[in-house]
Amino acid sequence: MPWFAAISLPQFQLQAALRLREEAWAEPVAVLDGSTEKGRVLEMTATAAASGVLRGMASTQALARCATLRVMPRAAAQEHALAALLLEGAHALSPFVEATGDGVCTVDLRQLKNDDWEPWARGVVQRFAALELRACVGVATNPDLAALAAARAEPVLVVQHPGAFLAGIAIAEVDAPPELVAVLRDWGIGHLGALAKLPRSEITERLGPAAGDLWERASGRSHRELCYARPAEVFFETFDFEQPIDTTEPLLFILRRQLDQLTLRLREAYRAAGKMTLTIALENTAATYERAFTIPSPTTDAEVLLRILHTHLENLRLEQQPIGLRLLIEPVIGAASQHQLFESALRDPNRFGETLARLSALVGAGNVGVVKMDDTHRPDSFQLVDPQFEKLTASTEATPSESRATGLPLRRFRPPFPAQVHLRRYLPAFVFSEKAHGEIAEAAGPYRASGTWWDREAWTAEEWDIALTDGALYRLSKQGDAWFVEGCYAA
Amino acid sequence: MRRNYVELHARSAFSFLRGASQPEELALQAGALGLGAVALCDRDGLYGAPRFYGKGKECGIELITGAELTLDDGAVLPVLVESRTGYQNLCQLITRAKLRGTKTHAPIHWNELAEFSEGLVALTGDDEGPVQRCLDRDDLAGAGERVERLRQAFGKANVFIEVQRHLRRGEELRIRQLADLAHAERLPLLATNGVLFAQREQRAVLDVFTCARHHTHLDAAGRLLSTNAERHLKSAAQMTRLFRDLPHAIDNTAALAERLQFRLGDLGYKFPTFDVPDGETESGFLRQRVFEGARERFRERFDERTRAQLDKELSLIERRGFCGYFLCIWDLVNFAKAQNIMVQGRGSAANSAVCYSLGITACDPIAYHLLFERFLSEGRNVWPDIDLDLPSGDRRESVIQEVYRRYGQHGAAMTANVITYRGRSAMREIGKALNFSPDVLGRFSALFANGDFPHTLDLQAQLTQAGIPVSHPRAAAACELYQMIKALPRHLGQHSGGMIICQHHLSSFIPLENASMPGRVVAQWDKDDCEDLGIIKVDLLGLGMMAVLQETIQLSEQRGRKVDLYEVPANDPATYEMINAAETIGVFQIESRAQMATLPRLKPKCFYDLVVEVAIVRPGPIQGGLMHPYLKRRSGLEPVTYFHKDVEEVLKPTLERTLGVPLFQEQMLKMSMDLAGFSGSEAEELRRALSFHRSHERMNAVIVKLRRRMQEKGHTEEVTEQLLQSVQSFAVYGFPESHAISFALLAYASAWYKVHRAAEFFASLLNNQPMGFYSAATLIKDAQRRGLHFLPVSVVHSEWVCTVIDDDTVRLGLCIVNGLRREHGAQLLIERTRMPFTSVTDFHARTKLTRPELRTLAKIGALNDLETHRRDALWQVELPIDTEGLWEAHPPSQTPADNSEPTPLAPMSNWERLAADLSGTSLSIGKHPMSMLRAKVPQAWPAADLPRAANGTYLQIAGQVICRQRPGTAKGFVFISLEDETGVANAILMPELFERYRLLITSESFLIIEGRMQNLENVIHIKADRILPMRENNLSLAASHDFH
Repeated sequence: MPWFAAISLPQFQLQAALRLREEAWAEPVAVLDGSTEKGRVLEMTATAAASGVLRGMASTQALARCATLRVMPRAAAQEHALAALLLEGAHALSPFVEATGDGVCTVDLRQLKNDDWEPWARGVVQRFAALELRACVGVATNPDLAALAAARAEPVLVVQHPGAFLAGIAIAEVDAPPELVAVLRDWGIGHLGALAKLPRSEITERLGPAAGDLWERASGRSHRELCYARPAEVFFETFDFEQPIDTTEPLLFILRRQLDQLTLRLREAYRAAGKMTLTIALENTAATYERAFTIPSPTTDAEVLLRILHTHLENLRLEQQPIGLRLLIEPVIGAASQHQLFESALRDPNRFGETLARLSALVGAGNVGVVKMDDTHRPDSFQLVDPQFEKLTASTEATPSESRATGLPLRRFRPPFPAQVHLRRYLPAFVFSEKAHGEIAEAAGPYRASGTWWDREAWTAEEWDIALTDGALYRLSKQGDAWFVEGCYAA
Repeated sequence: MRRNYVELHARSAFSFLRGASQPEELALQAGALGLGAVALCDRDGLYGAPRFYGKGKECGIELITGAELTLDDGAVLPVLVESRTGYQNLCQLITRAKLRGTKTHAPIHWNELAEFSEGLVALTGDDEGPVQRCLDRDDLAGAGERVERLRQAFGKANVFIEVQRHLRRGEELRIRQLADLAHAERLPLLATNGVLFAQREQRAVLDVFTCARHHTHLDAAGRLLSTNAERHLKSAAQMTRLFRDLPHAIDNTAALAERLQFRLGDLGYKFPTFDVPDGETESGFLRQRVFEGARERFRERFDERTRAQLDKELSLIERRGFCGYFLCIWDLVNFAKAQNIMVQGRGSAANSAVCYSLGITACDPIAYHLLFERFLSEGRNVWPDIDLDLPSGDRRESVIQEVYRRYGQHGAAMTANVITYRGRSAMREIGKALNFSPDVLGRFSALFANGDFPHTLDLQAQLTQAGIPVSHPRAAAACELYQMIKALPRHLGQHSGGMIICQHHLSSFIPLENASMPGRVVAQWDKDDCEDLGIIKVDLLGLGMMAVLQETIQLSEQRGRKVDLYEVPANDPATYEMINAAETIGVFQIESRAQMATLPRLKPKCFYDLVVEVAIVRPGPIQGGLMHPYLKRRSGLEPVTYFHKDVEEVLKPTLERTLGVPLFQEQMLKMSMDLAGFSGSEAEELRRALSFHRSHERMNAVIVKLRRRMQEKGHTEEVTEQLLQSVQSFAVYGFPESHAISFALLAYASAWYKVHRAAEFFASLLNNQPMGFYSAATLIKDAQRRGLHFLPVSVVHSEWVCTVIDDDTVRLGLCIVNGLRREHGAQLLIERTRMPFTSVTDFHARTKLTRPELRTLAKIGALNDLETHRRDALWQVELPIDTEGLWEAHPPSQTPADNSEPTPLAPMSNWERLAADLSGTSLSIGKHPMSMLRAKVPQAWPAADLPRAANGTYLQIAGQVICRQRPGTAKGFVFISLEDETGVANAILMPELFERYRLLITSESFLIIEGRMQNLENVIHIKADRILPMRENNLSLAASHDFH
């Protein structure tokens, strides 16, 4: 007889929201569905439940019942991480694992021989407890039954007699279409046992195949094949040095060997390196140095990958000596198509990437990238973003409106030069600064802009364009009472 | 050099999300800046014009009328009105587009501009204007072509090239291009600031509105937001400095403003004349109708006094030229009566013997000594106000449609109702813009206690409780925006009943547009705006109780025991007994919690007591501290005095009927006439000045006048002060006696029908829901306590509406079934008439009901006459039935046989039946839910037992919340009514207790309330001390009636 184990993380959304906050379990806490105005309660701690907070209740009513209730939004990233952890943990038990739902995995136990599953299941619970996860395990002869058992396990439940077990399970606890559940509720069918007593053919005739499936589950006869899930593939190698090292050569030597291994594995898996993360453990400290590299053109060429690391390490200064390293590669599927005939992509994106890495090492990681203008009226507001190598083309032409708005090109002084400006009848008349100095023949402005007034980062800007008597054109700005020369216009 | 500047392009918040200031604010700011005039150009309408005009008159600012017109290519063209013809053209142009288009998209075609251009001046607009849009595309030729089209449409002298300077980088090029264009086309250049808000700070509001228009939030809106805050109203000096390089553009504004002579006060509006037979005049015809009617209505009381009063009224009506108006209303009333539609005039019209004689009103003003001057007087330059109450629903709609039929689509319209941003809607808009999460906004809304009570929760505290603490980086912005956005117009609705009509095309005086309701046309101004500009309004108000009474009378007639409204016996002891016992649920006006608490103390014994009862439980008398003195004098606990011993003789005739306590507006007017020698019109002017919040000056002036006249009459300072205080305390809210009498007539009649035609009355009440104070569930429980029986909904026996079976029995109709569509119900009834249903399968096959409708009918037992029990029916309705061509193939005699198997499902338990009834019909004719929950609260006192508890006993009550109230007059006290299986128990909550349990009180449907019992003159309350939820119920209940 085949056996299946369902591993469930009860109150999955709450566990995710309270991860690493063990003390919060003793407090009244509820996780809300923040996407609706009602803010319905999804899950709550036992303390909150004791105060009358129920699942599905509007947050206002929940707060009315429990004034000290702490309401939290869903933690999507944590839920994702928890799901990955669960899957990883399940794979340690068997290669045949299904990601059944939020916080539930089902494991096919056919390859394991066991007469008494309960001690095994308790062991699983303990393994997850070591990861600070509250898990429940249900073991039964089919996957659906196992999932139901896991939902009722405290924390372990092995179903030996499916009929008796199913009879007491409320239909509301089962994953079934809400409309079907509502009809059954009107029928007075609250438990699976009652449903199983109804004639299957009559149910299916009236309520359709979904009801038939539910009946199968209610009678313990359902069987389905698991839809196997594989944990996310990552390729990594680690190495611990016997002694702290003080030059880059040993590092590069080890990294070269690691890359040979990793690229070999990548090629075998028909994958290429898309991202590389280097983690260096440092002497006498728990802290590590970590740096991620996006590979401009995913590759399995160890030489190319080493060059990227080499360039970075050449200029790296660490406060402690390295005592270990870990190199992790996130794989992607290699490029499947060639570039179009008239599309002039970068000839060697990896070389370009290497150049950027050299620049980054020289000027700092935050100061290299592709300029992207912010969608704001704020003058000179931009970000440096990672280049999207695959989209880079030879040139892009400015639209007519952009060219007109630009006028003469402005060469910005970074940072701007402080200036003294004298006004005559509200207009700038003289400027004194390191860069621009003299009588102002003509001034256009002020040009005023302001924004982000709704936040603490509210800003205002006042600018003037000036022509000095010698014909030079400058841009002035006024911030508070201070004046600056922002740049000069060049014909 | 100082130049004259007139702002000729401004938008107010009545451009809906495209402007950030009230028109009044713009007028005030214009006054403060010393601008002589401002052109208000709201988008596609004249929505804000009357308000600006009214405020402008106060602060010496002329309104130049204009509008921004959206054209079919998306461009926005500002036009200004030069003459009355221009104004009428503008109104008609907007109306044509609005009636042709949809609510959100009603562009004007370029080629129809010429037809309506006489008397209008066109500007080329801002960056949305037709010219600048071309320049943005570098389409200089297109810009020239647009200018030429404008010149063709409006004439050379009536097109101006508009330039604006908002200190934005890049705009100088545009200004230069526009100046060049003006030069090339030989058109004048005109500077405007394209004003979008009065004050610089209101730019934030505009940004929030921009987000609302683009369905985004401030963080994502980017360059959709304003560059800066320069589009505020600026002074002539500021604008001159700004356009120092183009001084002629400033000079042209003053020159153009000189040309624009039309003023809104000069509309030329006329009320329709009435077609009288050949050889008759309107006044002669009216006089005949009045005296004919008077003889019939006054009968034996048609004496000299009545004749003199009618003469007095008629001569005033003739002098003021209102004969046509009275005849039109009379004709409309006649139409209603001919259609068997109950109609009754309310408000001050009931003070008029002419209205009574014409059959417009129902109470005899002479018998009740009503003051005609409250309705109409010599010196008042306003139209009389006649409001007609009609049965709500289809009957009222047929009268409204008759008005449209008579005056045409462009000749009549409903007045608008300006929906403004209030607490919830304001914060929802702000919260969306500030990117607050929906659940935070939901909590903020839930923290409001509605009603007329000023919101007591401090804004910041409310935000904190909703999840935005003071430390939140956007909390300060939210608070500031909230204050700025509150009360700004949000959208335009239609007034519940106010209609305006006109001698000629109404669309020449006000732009009209389609209402969301099919067949309705709505004007762009609300009733106050219309009144301010002398446009007459007729209120055709829907009154649920009129519909109930009309239906009650019809049902009684069908059952051979008709008693018409005018036949209702006066002074019926059983009726007064019920009223005295405060068993007035379902009775007009005197069913509210406060009314029911007063009835046992006031103990009405005659009709006039009811008039007082209706009027006394009102904010005015309560805030004026008049209620308790009256009740004390009535119980003999306080002597009856007449204001002041010095004037007792003078005032006794006026105040005698209210035991010396001035309760009605008419009494206040009469007192000012008697003590200060005011004429009727002066007295009415006093009332209007006091209730006219917009002008303090006006109020002060009339108070000064009253004081002076009192002194001239030789009254002591004490008497003068006392009168002034009394006048000010209740003039604002005081109830007109005529109105109270009209309402008391309906209150008494409805009480009489409740006692003597209970089955018909309750059936009608249920058929006209929602209305009144209580849900259908509460009405049924009240009826059952009075011995009425209800039969459940049955597809075999029920009609669409509730029907009367016998004097004590009502069959519930299909109309109470939640989710059952009316057309499906009608089809069911047709099918049943054709041949009775024989089984559920037969029923299923022959009706076109949806699956959810079938399930609901089965669940509530409506199919029980075809099956053994509800679950049996539920089992059967799920069987698939091939209805395709069933009836075409089989004649009725070959109905498919019911060969279904018996159900394996068990019958419903009592609790399940109750839950099914509540979810399927929101009511139950079986046991009250509390009877089944009683065991869970054994310590709670049933409502019926409370009179046996000693005063001061500490006890607990429990039940379903049917009413939560927080009257504005109750200083923050909250009243909660809990219904249980024995009756209704009432609790009073102190303000601080309410604050503590606010969310619990507003969100739970069953409550347990602990507190001390108070029994004052048989009015029983629990003074609440502690409130608990009753959690163990899973019932979907009818909504309680909250905070009204």
